[in-house]
Amino acid sequence: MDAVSNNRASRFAIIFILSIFAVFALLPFYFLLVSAFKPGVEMIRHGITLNPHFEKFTLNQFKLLFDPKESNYFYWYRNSLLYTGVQTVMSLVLTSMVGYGLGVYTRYKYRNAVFVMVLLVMMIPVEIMILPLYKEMVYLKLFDRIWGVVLPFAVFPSAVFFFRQYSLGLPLELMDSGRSSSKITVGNCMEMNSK
Amino acid sequence: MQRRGLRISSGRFFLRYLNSPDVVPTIFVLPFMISFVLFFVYPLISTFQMSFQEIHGFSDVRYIGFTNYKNLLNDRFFAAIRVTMTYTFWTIAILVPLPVILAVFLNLKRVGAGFFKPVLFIPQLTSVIVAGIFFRFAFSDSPDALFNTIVGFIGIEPVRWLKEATPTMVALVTLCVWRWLGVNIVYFLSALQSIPREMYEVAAIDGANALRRFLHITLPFLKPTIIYVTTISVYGGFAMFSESYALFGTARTPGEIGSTMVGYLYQQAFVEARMGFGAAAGVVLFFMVMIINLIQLKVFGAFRRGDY
Repeated sequence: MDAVSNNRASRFAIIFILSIFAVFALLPFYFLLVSAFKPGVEMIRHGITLNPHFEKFTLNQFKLLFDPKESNYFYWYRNSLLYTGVQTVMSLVLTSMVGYGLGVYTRYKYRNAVFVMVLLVMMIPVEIMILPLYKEMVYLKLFDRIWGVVLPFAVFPSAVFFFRQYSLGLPLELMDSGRSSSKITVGNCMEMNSK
Repeated sequence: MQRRGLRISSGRFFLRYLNSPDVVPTIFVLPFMISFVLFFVYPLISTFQMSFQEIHGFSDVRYIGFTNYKNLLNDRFFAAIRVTMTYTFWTIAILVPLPVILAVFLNLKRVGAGFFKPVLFIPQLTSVIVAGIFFRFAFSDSPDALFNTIVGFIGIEPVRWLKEATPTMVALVTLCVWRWLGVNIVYFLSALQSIPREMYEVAAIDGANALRRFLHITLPFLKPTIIYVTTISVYGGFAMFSESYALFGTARTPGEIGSTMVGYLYQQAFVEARMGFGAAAGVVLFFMVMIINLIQLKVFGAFRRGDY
């Protein structure tokens, strides 16, 4: 493979191709930024255009966004932060725990059964179950609360999958040394997963 | 592992119990099991049950047999199936080979991988709604809108993007590729980095050219990752709704050109309040996804023991 990168011409060709995709990845951000300064009517009439039309720039949208009478921006922002924070912490703790359990305990009786369940959850679109899930939330009195949003997706399967994959590669000798210094297994998990 | 329970003795019953061979892993997987029963098994069974009911509010529930399923045999649902399948096909056809190639490029020395990797990943960090708004206006009909300008460069007349079937599919797939390309590249890159370098060196000494090395070393090593990415892409394709919703701003699209199965489910269940009917659409979707996943795992041979 290195032979390719040693060749100047092919190296530049590769950088050129990667650049095209980089531009493709970044363009929407540039245009969203530009559009934020343009009147909404302009967007609806002409769509997003290559020419930024600087002469039409206005700060009205930002005034509106931060105007307490028109919007609750900071409250929304607080909500987003809160939900993200709670979701991240809960998911990290729970999925690492499950992934570790599946990866390390190779003689666990239900190891494969549980893993198949994880794969199953990964394969089925959650949208199928959204109706009963909604009713369930109402029934559990979690509806309209942060837990109704966070709990159903706290142990999400792809994270379990990755933690399991990672745990498979953990050196088991480390565990044994941890055990002989009579730490209980939970302590072991915390220690290993934090590495 | 089996002797774990014996290691800590001295009569500390609690610790011994905690360290017995099947109890400990059970405690570890317990959060998943609880979540699995509460938020997967129960709602799934409930969906099946609801699909045989006619529901008007919580108390007014009537069993109506297979009526919901018979009613599913309509043109709008078939159109949604067609859109979903086409979309899934194209996203997989693009989002597996393209990231493999780009990951191989990024894995080379001195191509600026440190810059390109994060840049290509950035789209994943935005919400699909925000991205959808950009794409909705970039795919505007107006001749000076972004994508019409771009196709203008290669001499194509302005396209009525979100009003006709094929251009709509192009827009949906473009949005999907934009969001997921970087993620798939990361998957493939991490797999590439686990390939021992010596294999390439030995192959090069044996006179294998770059293409042969790619076909006979890189691809076999990438196989498990390709299976994984294809599986989540099937999932992503069949679950697709937010992309279409963000592009069109409604669940119901003109002439069903952008309606997906989940979009149809959403439209029926929440907009038209036909909960039982929506559930039936969900059950059909469930079986379609299961069948496709099983075929795919069978073909790839992922059921063989020790493969995962």
